[in-house]
Amino acid sequence: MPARATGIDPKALLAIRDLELRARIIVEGFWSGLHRSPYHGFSVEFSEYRQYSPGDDLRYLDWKALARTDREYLKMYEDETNLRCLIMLDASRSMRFASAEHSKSEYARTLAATLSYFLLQQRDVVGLARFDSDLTDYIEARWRPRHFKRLLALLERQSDGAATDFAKALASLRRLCRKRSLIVVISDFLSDPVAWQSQLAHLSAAGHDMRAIQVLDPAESSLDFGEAAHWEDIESGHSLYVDPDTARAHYLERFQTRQEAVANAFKSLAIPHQLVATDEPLDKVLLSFVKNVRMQGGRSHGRRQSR
Amino acid sequence: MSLLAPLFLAGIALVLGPILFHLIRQSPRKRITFSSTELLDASAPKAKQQSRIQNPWLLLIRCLIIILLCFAFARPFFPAEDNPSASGQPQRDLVVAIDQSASMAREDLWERSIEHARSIAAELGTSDRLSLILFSDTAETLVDAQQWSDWPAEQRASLLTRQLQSRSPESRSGKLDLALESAVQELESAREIQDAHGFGEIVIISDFARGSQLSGLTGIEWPADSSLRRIAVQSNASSTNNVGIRWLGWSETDGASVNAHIGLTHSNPETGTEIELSIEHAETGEGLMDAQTLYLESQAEHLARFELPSVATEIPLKVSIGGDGSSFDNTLFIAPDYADRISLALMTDQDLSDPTEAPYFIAKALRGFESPLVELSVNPDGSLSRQEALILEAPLSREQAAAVRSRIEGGASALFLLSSEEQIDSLRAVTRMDDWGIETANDANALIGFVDFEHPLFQPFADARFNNFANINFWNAPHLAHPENGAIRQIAAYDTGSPLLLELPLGEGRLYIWAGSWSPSQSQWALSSKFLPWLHRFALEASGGAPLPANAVFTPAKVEQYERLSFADAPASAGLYKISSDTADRWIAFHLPPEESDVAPLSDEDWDRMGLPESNAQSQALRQERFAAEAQAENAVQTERRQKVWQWILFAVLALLAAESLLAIKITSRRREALT
Repeated sequence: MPARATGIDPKALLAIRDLELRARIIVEGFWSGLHRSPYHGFSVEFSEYRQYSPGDDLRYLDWKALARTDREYLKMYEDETNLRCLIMLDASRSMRFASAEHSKSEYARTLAATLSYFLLQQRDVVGLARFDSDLTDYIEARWRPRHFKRLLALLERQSDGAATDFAKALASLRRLCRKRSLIVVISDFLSDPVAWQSQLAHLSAAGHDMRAIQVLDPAESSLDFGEAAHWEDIESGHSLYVDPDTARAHYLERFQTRQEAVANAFKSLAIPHQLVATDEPLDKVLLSFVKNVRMQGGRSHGRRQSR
Repeated sequence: MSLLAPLFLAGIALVLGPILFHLIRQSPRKRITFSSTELLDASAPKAKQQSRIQNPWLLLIRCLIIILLCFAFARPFFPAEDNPSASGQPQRDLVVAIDQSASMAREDLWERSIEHARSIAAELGTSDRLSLILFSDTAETLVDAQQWSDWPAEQRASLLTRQLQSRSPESRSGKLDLALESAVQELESAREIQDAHGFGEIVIISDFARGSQLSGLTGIEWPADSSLRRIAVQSNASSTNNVGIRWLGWSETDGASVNAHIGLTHSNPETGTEIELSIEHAETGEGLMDAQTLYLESQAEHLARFELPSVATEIPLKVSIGGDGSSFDNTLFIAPDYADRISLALMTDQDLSDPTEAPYFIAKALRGFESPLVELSVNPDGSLSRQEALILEAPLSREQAAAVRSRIEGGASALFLLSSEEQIDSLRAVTRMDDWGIETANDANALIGFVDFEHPLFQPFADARFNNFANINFWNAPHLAHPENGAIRQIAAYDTGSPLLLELPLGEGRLYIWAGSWSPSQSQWALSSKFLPWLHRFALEASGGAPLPANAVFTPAKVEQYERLSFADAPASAGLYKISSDTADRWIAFHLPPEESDVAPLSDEDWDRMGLPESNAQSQALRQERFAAEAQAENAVQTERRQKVWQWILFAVLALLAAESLLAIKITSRRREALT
């Protein structure tokens, strides 16, 4: 089903200032869609109760059962997505580009918030890292009641936005993220993959489950943008006179080549690569992401009982 | 709209500057930020991009500023419709000078001159001005420019003609140089009246006879924007074959007749002519000789001699010729010579035959004078009323002194030879001044140390050849003390400083006081070469001055000299005039200027040599066009100064400058917003 025919209009969504609200709308919309969709095979439900024993974590106490039965039971979850997830968000200057009302950065942050909210709802532990020329911010994956707020706070904080050095950021992440995690990289991946492919391989070889969500502006894919003028690189500041009408053909050719290189880079490392345009509904993106996770599921994490 | 300095409009080309500037200027170029230009190729600038004019409104304002400034410098103005120069016809200032000399009396030259003047006046415009001068040997302004302007325009020509018809040629010579000089002055006066001038033209209407005076033409300063036009009124060919006559004088013959010498001037010597000449009594018409036929040819000047009875020198004569081309100068009057007479009384107590005393020399000298003829009376009895001159050499009685005083006051001239103390009372009585004093000193030798050569008595001696009085000795020169009276004038003095000759006006006459004796024993004066001419001068002054010749050329200067004579009819033209007096009648004959008889016209070469700015119709038209253009330009300058359109243009430029500044600021701020 086409993305535009379904899903929340990203323009309308991103017009909402509150990042948490955006995430909630997407996720809850996603859930409601799931119930109606053939994809409702995925659910996160608790599998059983266990008698409370002193010393158990009261966070898992089923308070409703206690209210009904006046007995302490702990919920036992069938934790199919019991993940340690780290969202690695590109906060470089190139992400600020916008051909329409919202930039890639705005879209990516909403996506990161949505994923965080969704995963946290699944009782997955989620962490967040931001990078541009290096890893600039890092919140370790946790599952705590107010953890989401921390993530949102980081997402809402304006970054200085330097040039992109993905390889360096990945190297820094290797040192920080020791536990095997699902690392979701949200970036535009505009740089040559040759520069960061090896670091990505290192991370993947370290047991991390990598996911790549490439956020691009439609103008970057089509060059249907602007006019004959001096085009300035938002990161390097380099400018050149470009007439999009005459430069489009060659640009698309080179862009396609680059995209293929990026896709091949991920493919060679068996990293799912999801290409997202900023005019795509975010709930659809979430659905695609979840499908990828489910399809790939079990490789980097095991089924385990959560308490 | 017209422009005073249209060349400044070439500055409009400067608008190319802002146009090019707006085309070339690319700042600030539009900038677009893109996520990554790594995959982009630089594009060649489009021609369309380059040729697009940036900020067209700003460019328009800047171009307007330049264009308006050029217009302001070009000094625009709106020509005034009521300006006479707008019609293209310049105002003309004309001075018409008509020859009124004797030669213009021939045939119908005068009438034709009037007609020329009338036609000139008729073709003038309403704003044109005309002055009319009549000239002969003087110039008279008959109508000036102001008078012309005051006349109703439609009546001007007829009024002018009427003025001319009341006049006629005069018995005078023609002075063309005087005519032109007067015309130039009249033209300049006309321009001064209106403080503006039109195109000037001087029109001379004359027969331009060779006899006209031209000598002063080359010295005339010709005024700007003016020219000369000659209108020659010529008689028929035969009238140029003119003979003029002039009086040369008498000569004696051996017998009882005299020769009358007459000069004949032939104006056309190439053509032989035959004339008849007759001489008759001017009053009675009695012929003094038979009419004689004279043949004149091959030369211009002829001398003729006619033998007449000796009585002819004593009567007025009329010489007439006939048979030449023109008759205006065919009559010549000859007046008999006249010698002035004066009665001179010599008051002396000496014997006139005594050569050792002064009266001897005085009487002998006076009797030898031919003009004036002196009727000498010695010690006349009774009143001295008939005496024009008095020489007082002896003491006077009281009655004599009174009579002398009375006569001097009546106009006589008296010479008091004061040489002794006995005469001092007489002097006091005559002068009625008591402060006279004389000191006679023996052996006081003196010379003449001072002479006033400007005084009429010594004027003839002013020449360096005659002015040496210092070698005349005066023995026993007295010392004369005179009263302090401003009327007493010292004319000569001894080298001692003592007065020699004093002059005292008394009434209408004057008293001369000579301090010293003329006796040869007392001085060398009576024996000096100065004595006779000096005494003659005294007699001449007593008679009224130098004698006037009986025959003179009729000129204003000459006529003025004869004003002291009591003419029965004031001289108005050449002719014979009678002066009656108690003693005798005398005649004065005024002759036509002989040069007027030379009526042959001046040649074109003669005029060319003058170097006058003459104009023909073509050059006049060109000059008028130029003047019209200059007048238009001058009026244009004045109109532009009055309207000051350039000021309004500058105000507009200032307003545009302010608008340009505001617009530029607005554009700059917009660019800054776009970049941020």
